[in-house]
Amino acid sequence: MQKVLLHNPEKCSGCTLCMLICSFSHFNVCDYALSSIKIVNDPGRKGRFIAIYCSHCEFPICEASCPKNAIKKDKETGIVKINSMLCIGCKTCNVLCPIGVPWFHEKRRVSIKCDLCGGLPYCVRFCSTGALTLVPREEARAKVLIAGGLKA
Amino acid sequence: MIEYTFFRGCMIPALQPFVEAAAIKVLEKFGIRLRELKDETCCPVPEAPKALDELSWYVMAARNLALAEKTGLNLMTICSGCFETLEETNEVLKENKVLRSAVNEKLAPLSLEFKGLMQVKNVIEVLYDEVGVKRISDAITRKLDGIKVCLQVGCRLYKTEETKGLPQKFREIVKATGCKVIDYETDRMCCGFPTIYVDPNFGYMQRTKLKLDDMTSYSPDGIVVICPACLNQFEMAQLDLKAKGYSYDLPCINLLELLALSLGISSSSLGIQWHRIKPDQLLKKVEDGR
Repeated sequence: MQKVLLHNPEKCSGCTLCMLICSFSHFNVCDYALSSIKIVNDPGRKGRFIAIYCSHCEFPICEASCPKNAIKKDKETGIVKINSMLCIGCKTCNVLCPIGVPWFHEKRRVSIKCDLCGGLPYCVRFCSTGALTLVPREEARAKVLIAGGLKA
Repeated sequence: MIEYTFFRGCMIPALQPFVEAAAIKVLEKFGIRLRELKDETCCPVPEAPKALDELSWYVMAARNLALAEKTGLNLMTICSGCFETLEETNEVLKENKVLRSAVNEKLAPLSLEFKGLMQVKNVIEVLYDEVGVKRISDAITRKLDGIKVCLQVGCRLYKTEETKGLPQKFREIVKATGCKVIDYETDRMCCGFPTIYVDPNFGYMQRTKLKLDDMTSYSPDGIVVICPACLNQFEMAQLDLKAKGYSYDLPCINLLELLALSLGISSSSLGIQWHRIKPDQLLKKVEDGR
């Protein structure tokens, strides 16, 4: 059973601690540009935020598109990871991901994406309001459908 | 007489001594005495130190808890950050025996041990559950009827929304003073304080300014906060924005200061005049409402 991130915009305060801790835990520096989770202003609602983060898809388009087979979905954990040693920085995954999750690291010349910190993500542990959680995919899907009014 | 060990934290005694004074005076009025905790350190902050080394973070927090346990009293904190750190550590170490023995191993050379005998409480819990809203509203000598305020709950308290309901309790205590609480759209938004790790200017422009704009559209007399980081952010941001040519003059006070004022404690005895954004207009309104 795969676990995925779930962001609750009703709870999020936009404090951006998740972005800070993501870049700190992966690159030892606090920099919004180096975060694999992005908190952005909700264009429809004042003072609310939406998060853009990897869903670790069941059939990842990034994995399918990679010309060097540098992206693999782990059979056990379901985590989709980029192997930086194999990545050639062609940015195909950046372009093909429907929500543009993989991003290009200018200095390292490779693509980077969320690796769920190997199981217990830092963003979830440091979220100041409890808006970010790690839940089974089925639960996440059900919650999103209910929140969107598509399921009672 | 109920007694609590008082965990003051770093930010309040250093930057906001008026809040500390208000806490002691307000709780004294309700028969709660606060005992100072000696030799305490930073709680520590639930962000940077935890990210650097989690075990050290737990050890530092457990050291403070172990010192407090020695007094035999429960611990009370007035800072939202301290509350999160100490409460989380207290609960985690009570459950997780492996982590607890690792922490106690580090505490042993200091002749300290975390036993898990104590409760960590936020001042809101103490005011709401032990004093009660009715006793607060009965004790009030200056009704603050004519005063309109915007509340800033702060991120950390929202975490307790479903478990302890601290945001709701905070609101009810403010209402007990007679103040009119304004509902505004960006109430849940972060004050912008965490952005100091990266880009304070982003915080001022993209968080605090948006909140201040939203609040001022309802023309409130002030902002009431509980988190010292929010108070600091609102004041620093207004000074910064003034330097950039914007004009804001929205005083920001802590819940405990508001209570102290409504209980008839004089503002000069608390040192409210030392706020960076002077709450003169607000104080004048409080005096007039006597």
